[in-house]
Amino acid sequence: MQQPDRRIFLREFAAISHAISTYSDVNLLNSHLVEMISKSFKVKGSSIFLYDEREKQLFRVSSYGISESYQTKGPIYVDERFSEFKSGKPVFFSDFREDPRIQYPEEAIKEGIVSMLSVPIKFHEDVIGLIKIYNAEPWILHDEDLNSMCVIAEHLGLVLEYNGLKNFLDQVKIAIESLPLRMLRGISI
Amino acid sequence: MNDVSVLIPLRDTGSSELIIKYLSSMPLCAENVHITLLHIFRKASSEEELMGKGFTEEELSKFTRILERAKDDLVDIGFLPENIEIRVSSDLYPTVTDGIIDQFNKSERKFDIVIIRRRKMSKAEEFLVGDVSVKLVRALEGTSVLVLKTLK
Repeated sequence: MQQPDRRIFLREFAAISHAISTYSDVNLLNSHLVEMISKSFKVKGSSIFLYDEREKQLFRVSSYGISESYQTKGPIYVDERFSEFKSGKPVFFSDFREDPRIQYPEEAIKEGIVSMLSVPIKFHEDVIGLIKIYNAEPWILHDEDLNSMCVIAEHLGLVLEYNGLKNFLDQVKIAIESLPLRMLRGISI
Repeated sequence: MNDVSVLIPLRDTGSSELIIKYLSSMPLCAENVHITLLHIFRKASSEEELMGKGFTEEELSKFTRILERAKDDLVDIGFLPENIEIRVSSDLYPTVTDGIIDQFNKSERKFDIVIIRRRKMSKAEEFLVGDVSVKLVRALEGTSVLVLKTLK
C-alpha cells in the first residue's frame, strides 16, 4: 500500500504561522497564504472562503491556481453536505468523480480537480470560513499535514475575526465623531 | 477648457479594465487630461520569509507591468502618453487606503478627481476588509471621488 508523503515541515509551518501573526493587510495575507499553501503541498491550487451567515453562502476571497471560470461557477450554498460546518472538523474528498457531496462535479472535473482537502477556519466554536486545497491527482494525506493545516486555519480564524472587529470599530469611531458634542459629554474620545 | 488631473489607484488588471472602459465613455478632451496611475506596493514584514526574495522582486515588476499596460490602453483610447504618469509607491503603509490618502496628500499635483473600483462584496467580506471607498470619500479633501461598482 502506498504510504502518505508528508509535505509541510516545521520550516513551512513556521513561515506561514509567522506571516499570519505579522501581516497587517489581510487581503495581502490571504493572497500570499493560498499561494504558499499550494506550493508547500505541491498541489494544483487553493482558496480561502468566508461564510456569510445571512446568505448561508461561502464567498471566495482569495485563490491561487484556480481558473476564473471555476471560481465563478456559481454560488456555494452551505447545507448538510458540508459536514465541516456541523462538526468543525476537516473533510477530505479523495475522489471528486465519485463523491455526491460535490455541488459542481462537472466543473470540478473540467478544472482538473481530482481530490480536495477542506479545512474549517474557526473562531472558537464558530466556523467562519474554509480553506480548500485542490489537487489534480489522487492524494494520500499525511496526518501531520492535516494537523498542521488545522492549526494554521485556527490561527487564521483569530486574525480574520480580529480584523473584522477592527473594521467595525473604525465605523463606530466615525459614527461617534459625527454625533453632536452635547451627546458626547462625559465621553472621552 | 481647463486641465483635469485624475488619480487612478490600481490594484489589478480587473480594476484597470473597468476604469479604462469608463474613461473611454466620458466626454473628456483627452489633451487636457493628466492621469496618474498609482499602485501602492505593500511589502509585508515577513513576506520574504514566507514567499522568498525572488517573489517580492517579481511582484514589484508584475505591478509595474499592470500600470504600463493600463497606460498603453489609455493611449489607445486617445489619451496622450506624455500626460500619463506611472507611480509605484513602495513606502510602507498599514493599509492600501492609508497609502492612497498619503500619496494624494503629498503629491505636488492637485487631483481634481480620484477614480476607484469597488468590487461587489458579501457582508462577511465587508466585515473582514472594510469598505475602502467609504474611507476614501471621507478622507480625501478638495477632490471628487468617483466609485465604479462592479456587478460581481
